[in-house]
Amino acid sequence: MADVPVIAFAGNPNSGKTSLFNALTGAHQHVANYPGVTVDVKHGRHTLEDGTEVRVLDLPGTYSLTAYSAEEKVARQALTDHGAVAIVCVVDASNLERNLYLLTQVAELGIPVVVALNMMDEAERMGLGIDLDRLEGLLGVPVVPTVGRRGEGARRLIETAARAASNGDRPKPFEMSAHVEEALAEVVPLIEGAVDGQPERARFLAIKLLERDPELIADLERKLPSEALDRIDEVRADLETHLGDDPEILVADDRYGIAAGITREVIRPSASGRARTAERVDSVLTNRILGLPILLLMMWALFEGVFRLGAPLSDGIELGFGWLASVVSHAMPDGPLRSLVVDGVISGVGGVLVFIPQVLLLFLGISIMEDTGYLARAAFVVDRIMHTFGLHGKSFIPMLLGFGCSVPAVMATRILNDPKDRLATILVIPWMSCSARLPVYALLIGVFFRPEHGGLVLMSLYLLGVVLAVIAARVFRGTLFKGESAPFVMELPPYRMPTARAVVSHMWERAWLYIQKAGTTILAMSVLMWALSSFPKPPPDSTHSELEYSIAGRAGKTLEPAMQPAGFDWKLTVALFTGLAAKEVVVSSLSTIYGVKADAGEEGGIPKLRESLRQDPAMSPLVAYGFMVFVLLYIPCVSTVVIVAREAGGWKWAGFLVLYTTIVAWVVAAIIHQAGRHLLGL
Amino acid sequence: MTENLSSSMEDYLEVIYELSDGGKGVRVKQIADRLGVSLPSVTSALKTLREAGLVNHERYRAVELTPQGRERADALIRRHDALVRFLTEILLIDVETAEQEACHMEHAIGPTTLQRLVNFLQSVQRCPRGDPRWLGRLHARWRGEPCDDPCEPCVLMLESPLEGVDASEGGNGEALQGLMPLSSLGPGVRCIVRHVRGRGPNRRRLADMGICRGVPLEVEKVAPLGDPIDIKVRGYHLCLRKDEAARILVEPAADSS
Repeated sequence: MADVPVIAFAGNPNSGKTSLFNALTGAHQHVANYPGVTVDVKHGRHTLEDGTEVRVLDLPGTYSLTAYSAEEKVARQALTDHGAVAIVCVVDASNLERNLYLLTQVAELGIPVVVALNMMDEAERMGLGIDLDRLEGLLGVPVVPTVGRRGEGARRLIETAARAASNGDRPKPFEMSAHVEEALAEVVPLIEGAVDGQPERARFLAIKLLERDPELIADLERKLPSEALDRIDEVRADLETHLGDDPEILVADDRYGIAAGITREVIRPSASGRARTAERVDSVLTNRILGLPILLLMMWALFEGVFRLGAPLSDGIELGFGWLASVVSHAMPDGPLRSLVVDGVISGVGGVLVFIPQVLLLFLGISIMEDTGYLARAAFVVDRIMHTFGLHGKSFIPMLLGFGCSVPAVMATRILNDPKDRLATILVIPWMSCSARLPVYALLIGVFFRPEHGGLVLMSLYLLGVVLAVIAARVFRGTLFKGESAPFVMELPPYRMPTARAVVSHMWERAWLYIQKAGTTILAMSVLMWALSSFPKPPPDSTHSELEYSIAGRAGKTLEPAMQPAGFDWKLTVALFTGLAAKEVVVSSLSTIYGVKADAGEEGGIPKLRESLRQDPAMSPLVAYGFMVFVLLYIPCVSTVVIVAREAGGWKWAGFLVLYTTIVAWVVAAIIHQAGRHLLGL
Repeated sequence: MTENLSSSMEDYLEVIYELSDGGKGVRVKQIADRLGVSLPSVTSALKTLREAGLVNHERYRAVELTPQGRERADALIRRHDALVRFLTEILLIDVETAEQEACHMEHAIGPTTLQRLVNFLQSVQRCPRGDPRWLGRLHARWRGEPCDDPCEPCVLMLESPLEGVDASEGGNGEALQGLMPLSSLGPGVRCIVRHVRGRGPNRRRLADMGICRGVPLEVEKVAPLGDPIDIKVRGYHLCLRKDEAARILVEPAADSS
C-alpha cells in the first residue's frame, strides 16, 4: 500500500470533485449537489499511461482548512497523513474567486499542486472567458481545464499531477500584505526546529500559529521552547495592534485579496443569459409566498408518485413471486422443507422485495432534489421553522434523507458542525419514516383503506413522524443540549441539471443497501420467524392452530396484555417483535404468521396475506392505523441503533433512543386506539 | 509618536493644559500649588518637558505649551476623561473616586487598552444592535435589584468583547457611524462590508466564505418566513440567518435602489 503514490483531490463543496474522482477510478459513489455530504475520505485506484498505479483520495469538500469543522479537519489531516505526492485542487471555473481562496491554502502545504479548472462548460455557458495561460502564470501551478460530469480532461489531469509529483514542483506560496509578511518573516525562523524535517511546511505552520489554530498550536507548543512561543505571541499581538483585527481574519482577508485579484485578471465576463434564467427559477422556488407551498407540493408529489407509480410495478413483482412459489410447491414433496422454502424464504424475502419499486422511486426523488440543488433551497426555506425547534436549517437534509433510510441519514448529520445540533438531530431522525416502514404502510393501507384515501393516510403518518420529531428536538435542545446553535452560514449551490448517470448511480447505491438487507438480515429473520412460528407442532388433538401453539405465538400471547391498550393482538405483537431486526420484516412476519395459519401453500405471497388480514376479526382500520403509528415510532431497526451508537459517540445515546422511542410509541398508539374507540366510535 | 514620558511628567503636562485654559501663560507658582509640590521640583520638571519640546519656558516668564505639548496634553486629557466616563457611566463608580482612580490608571494603561475602552463606551452608548438593555440589567444587578431576564446571555456577551476599530480610524470610532447592520437591508440593496463584529470560529467562518472588509454584496432575497437571507457575494449565493447578518456592518452603495 505504502509504495503506491497517493494523489489527493481537494476542493470546495460542489466543485465537481467527486465526478472527476469517479471518472478516474470508476468507483460508484455519492455525487451530491449539497454542500458537505462527502465526509469520509474515499479511495480509488487509477493506472497511469505508463502503467504505474496511483491511489486517488477524494477528500471532503471544504471552503477552507481550519480546525473548526469536522470536514476541514479530515481534509487537512488526510492531506498530510497519507503522504500525498501531489494534490489536485479542483476549482469551479464558474465560481473562481471563492474556489481560489482554498487554493491559496492548499498551495502552502509544501506538496506539488495541480489545478483542475472544472465545470468549464458551465463557465462558457455563463459567458465567462477564462485566460488559461494567464491563470497558470499567476498561480504558478499547472492548470488543466476539465468537465467532470463528462469526464473530460480527467486523464490529462492525473497525468499532469503525476508529472508534477515526479518533478517535485512545489508551488510558490502567495504573497500576503506587508504587515503579515513581516510577521511571518519573524515567526518562520523560530519554528524551524519543529517542522519534523519538512522545512517546506514552515510557512504553513507559521500562518497557522498566527491564526491561533487550536490543533496545531497544541502540537507546536509541545515542540517549541517557551521563549519562541512568547515571541510568537508578541508578533501576533503587534500585528493585531497595528492592523486592528484578529490576525486570523487579516490572513483570510489577504487570501481573498489574492483570489479576487487573480480572478479579475483572468476573467472576461459578458452578459449571461442562463444565470438570469436560473435566478428567475430561484425567485419562484424560494418566493416569500410560494416557497413553502411549493416545498409541500414537492413533498406531496414525491409521496404520491411513490405510491401511485410504485403500485403497478409491485404487482408485477408479486405475480413473479406467486408464480415462483407455485412452481416450487409443485416441484417439491410436501413436508417441513417445502414449508421452509415456500412459507419462510419465498414469502418472507418476496414480501420485502415486492416494495423495491417504491424504494427506488423514493430514492430517485431525493437524488434528483439533491443533485439539482433544490435541497439546499429547501433548507433555506424551512430554516426559520427548524430554528424555532432548536435545529439548524441543515438538519432538514439528514431528516429528509431519513425518509429513505435512517442509517445514511444519521451519517449525514456530520454536515452539522455543532455537536449539540448534531445529537438532537440524530435522536429524532428515526421518526422520519424510513423506506423500510413503507412496505408495512403499503400493505395495511391497501387492505384497510380505500384507494382514493391511500395517499392521504400515508402522508398523515409521515407528518405525524415529522411533528413528533420536531417537538422532541425542541425538548432535547431545551433540556439535554442547552445553548446557542452554530451559525447558519450555507452556500446555495447553483442549480444544475443532474446527469442521468449520477442520479441513477446515486439512487442505486442507496437502494442496493435495501436489497442487501433483504438478502441477509431479512432472509435470516424470515427463516427464524418461520421456525419460531412452526415449532413445536401442536399435537393432533389440539384445538389450537399451529401458530398459536408455536413459540412465537406463545411469546406474542404473553406480551398481548401489555399491548392491549393499543389494540394489538398477539399476532401483531409477534410481528412488532420481529420488526426489531428491520422494520420491513414486520411484513414478512405477518406473511409467515398468517401464511402458516392458512393451508400451506398453493399460492403464497401478498394476495393471500391481504385476504387473511381482511378476514381477521381482530383487525380494523383503527387497529391498522394504530399499528402503523407504532411501527413508525418504536425502536428503530438494529442497524440504526448501531449507527447511532457509533455517530453519537456511545451506547448511552443508543440506549436512550431505544427507551424513549418505545415509550412514546406505546403512549401515542394507545391514545389513538382509545380515542378512536371511545370518542369516534370506530 | 513621541518618546515615553514618566507618569509625573504626564501629570505636569495635564495641569499646565488645564491652567492655560486655551492659550494663557501659566505661572510656576500656579503649577506648584495645584500639584502640591515645591517650586524647585516644578522648575526641574519644566526643564525635562522643555527638552522634550513640549513647553516653552524662559526663567521668570510664564509657561506655554508648544503645539506638540498641546497635542500630547490633549490626548492625555481625553484618556483621563474616557476613563472617568467608563468608571462613572458603565461601572457606576461615584465621580470623586472615579477622578482619583482615573489619575492612577491613566499612566498604567496602554494605547490599545485605552482605544478598546473608548470603542467600548461608544459601542455601548450607540449600540447599533439597538439593544442597550443588557447594560440596564447589569446595572440593576449591581444595585441589587432583581433580574427578571436570565443573565446568562448578557454575561456571555460581555465575555466576547467588541473588537477595536482600525488603528487608522483614530480614537473617535467615527468610521462606524452611518453603517447599518446587514440584517436591516431589504432585497435588491447593494452595499459594501465595512466591519464584522465578533471573533473566533463564527467570524472566521464568515471570512472563509468571503465576507471581508471592503467586499461588495447584494441582498438577493429573504426566506418566506423572514429569516434567513440570501446574499450574493463574490459571485455566489450565501445564506445567513439574521443573527449572523447583524454582525456585518455595511455601507449601502450609492447606486442601490
